[in-house]
Amino acid sequence: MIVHAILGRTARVAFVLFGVSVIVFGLLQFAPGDVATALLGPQASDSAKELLREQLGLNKPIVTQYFLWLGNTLQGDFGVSIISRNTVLGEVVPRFLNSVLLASAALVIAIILGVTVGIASAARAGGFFDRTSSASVQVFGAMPPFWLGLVLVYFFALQFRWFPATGMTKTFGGGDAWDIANHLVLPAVTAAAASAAVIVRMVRAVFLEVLGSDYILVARARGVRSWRLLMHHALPNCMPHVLNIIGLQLGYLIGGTLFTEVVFAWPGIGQLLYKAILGRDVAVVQACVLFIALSFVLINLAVDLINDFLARKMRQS
Amino acid sequence: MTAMTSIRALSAALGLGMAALLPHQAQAQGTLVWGTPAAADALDPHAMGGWIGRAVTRQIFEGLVEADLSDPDAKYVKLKPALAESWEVTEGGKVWTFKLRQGVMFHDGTPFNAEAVKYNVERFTKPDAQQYSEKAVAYMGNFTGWVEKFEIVDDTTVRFTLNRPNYEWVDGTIHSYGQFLMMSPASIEKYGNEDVALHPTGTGPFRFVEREQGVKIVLERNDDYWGEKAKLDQLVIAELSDGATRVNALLAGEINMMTIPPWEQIDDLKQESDLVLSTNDNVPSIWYMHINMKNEILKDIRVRQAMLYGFNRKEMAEKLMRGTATPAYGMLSKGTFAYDPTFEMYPYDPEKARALLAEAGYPDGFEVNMDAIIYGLGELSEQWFQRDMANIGIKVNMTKNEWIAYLGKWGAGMTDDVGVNEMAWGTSIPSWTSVVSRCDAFPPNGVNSGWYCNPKVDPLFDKAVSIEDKAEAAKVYQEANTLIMEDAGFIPMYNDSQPVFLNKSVKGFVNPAENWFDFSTVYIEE
Repeated sequence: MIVHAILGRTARVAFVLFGVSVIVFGLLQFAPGDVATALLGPQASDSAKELLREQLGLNKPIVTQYFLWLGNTLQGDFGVSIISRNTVLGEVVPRFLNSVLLASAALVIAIILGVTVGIASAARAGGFFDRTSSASVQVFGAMPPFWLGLVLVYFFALQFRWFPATGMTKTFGGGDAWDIANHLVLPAVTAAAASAAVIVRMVRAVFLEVLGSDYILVARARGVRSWRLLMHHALPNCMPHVLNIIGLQLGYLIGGTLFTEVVFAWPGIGQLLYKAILGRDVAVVQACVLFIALSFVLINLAVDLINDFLARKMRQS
Repeated sequence: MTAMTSIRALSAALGLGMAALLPHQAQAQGTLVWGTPAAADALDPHAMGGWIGRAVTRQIFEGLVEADLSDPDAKYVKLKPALAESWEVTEGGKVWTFKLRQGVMFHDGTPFNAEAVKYNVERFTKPDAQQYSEKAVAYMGNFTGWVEKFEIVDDTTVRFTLNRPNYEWVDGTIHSYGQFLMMSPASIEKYGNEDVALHPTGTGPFRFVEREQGVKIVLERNDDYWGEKAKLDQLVIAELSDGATRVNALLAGEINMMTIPPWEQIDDLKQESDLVLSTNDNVPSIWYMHINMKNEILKDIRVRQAMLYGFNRKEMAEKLMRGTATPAYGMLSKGTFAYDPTFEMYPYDPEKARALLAEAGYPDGFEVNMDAIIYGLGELSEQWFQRDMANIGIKVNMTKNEWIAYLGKWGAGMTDDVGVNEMAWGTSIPSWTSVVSRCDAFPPNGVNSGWYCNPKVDPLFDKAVSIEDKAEAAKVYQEANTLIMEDAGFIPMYNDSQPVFLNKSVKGFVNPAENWFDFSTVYIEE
């Protein structure tokens, strides 16, 4: 049964990935002008362009070209960046890992903030804390990362000087874990804000619903104290919903991370993609889109599988 | 990545620790971190045209001659000996002979000598040479268009014979499209013509340490430098393309030098007590637009003149650039001996512009496409231009391009569907104007991106460089400039005064009448 579910979901993922690969391959076809010029840059020599045309089979039918491209891609050969002359993979992988670091930190912040504030709001619904948090959630949830980022930099980097304003490490002498953690705080909070706001709202709603259900009322009537009620009775029942919400937020989080990277000059895949798009560095754009799409799909697969698992456990108990 | 950075940090820390133990180590003079608005090109000095890339290569590499950047008050920069101790020009400006400096080593230990010069020359003149680079050929117009013969006279003497007289030729060797910087032949042999850009190896006061693409370039002092050694320990070029991010980094002390500050923040930044603003009114820098002579509408001179009349450049320089620029009316650079500050053509006159458009058959205006650069300044001057054009009925559709990619696109020449594209350029030699305006400089043989051609102009440029007397040559240049502007061949926008914000701790910095800096005199004093 569970194997069946995994297989079903994986098959769907394979289908999505095929679609992604077609679109990414298409990026090159849709690039204006000659493909070889797009990949090598306008300064490239004719002989170099001719060589590349041969390598990519540009004179062959488009389906053949697709499979040639797919073959190269699966072997990790994405070509060479026209801007830096590095291999595309060598360019994208370190940036991707930097983004994973930022997104993970943002996720942790979003979860901790979202869940605790959400529960606290629900516990005293309509109270002072609930009203204040609802208002702040409205404000912070609606702020685009490129604006929130600048606000945070203004206060915490320029006025209070608690954190650095840009980059991932100090330009000189940095690079240790403490240095990176220090640089991570503001961008992570920025990337987390919108998701944290949504999680707060959803957790609050889920908790209120559970807290209003019969068994909680019974427990309350029997004199179970409120924090015990929340932690031991309400929380386990809310968990699958909360996880589901967090899973849904991961996609937004990746998006938010991409914007955040530009504001904070965080050397991640979002910043790379931004520059590659502006620079018409088609091969890099392809690789970035593929990496982002791939992580999006795989994360969603993981969330789905965990949800399936939790739902089964719920039914069993 | 993180692991690599940590290893680097560790080794840097070890290095510093050891330095502290050595009694005779040169005194630490700090790190200059320069926040730049755009990426440097790939660091191949013969195959690049971007300002930042060139400013970086000029720290790593040297030419036979260099610009003397020590005097901030000079009206235009003069040359000084570098890898050549002296040089002379004979035969009416056709033969240039250089006496080479002896005992100079490249950063990799390769000796610099006449053979090394030959190896570099052949990189763009000898098609069957192993180091021949077609990319370099596209950039080295000062050689491919002029040098007829190169010879090694003896071990320490080399000679260039030109195909026609040119008294400015040696000046051209320090500028883009002729940047004759000496690369270590061994480095090209080792890494190949393409990858050598990832391992730039010259003789300059700084040596290359690492480049993290899109993030920073790190250079360190060359302790074996033949001349006056640099004072800084490290020079870091940090790429911060977003204007607000760049300002934040400066205010937070993460960078201590910033070029191209966003105009709207200049007044505020001037109020900061730990910052200093440095400008130079003689910098040879024009922001201008090429007009596409192949474009159906813009072929008509009346249309081009209307665009010039309709563009309020004076007010733009005053209101937008906050006094860090002056309006440009001609195509001769400031910071050259030929610049005429009194030259003014097409003063702002929207009525006249509309009349000219009506006469040309466009009483209701038209639409035109514009290629613009993303260069850390937002798009304010471009929007100003768009607004002024809209005011006389011309709808300008703008496409923005990332700097490095833009250079390639611009260098390939405008396609017929584009009307204007912009560029920021100008050099301290007046023959620069010919580089963008000669008939024989059409892409791919040159960078006359707008296909401007007036057969009466080219002979003037030829004549100007053949005159040894600068005052006489200046007159000929001014004549050529007048013809170009009568044709309405370009849209000069403004002359930039190269505003640089520095932290007060940065000492010894000179903002010269040139588009790059000599960082060897800079040091940090907290």
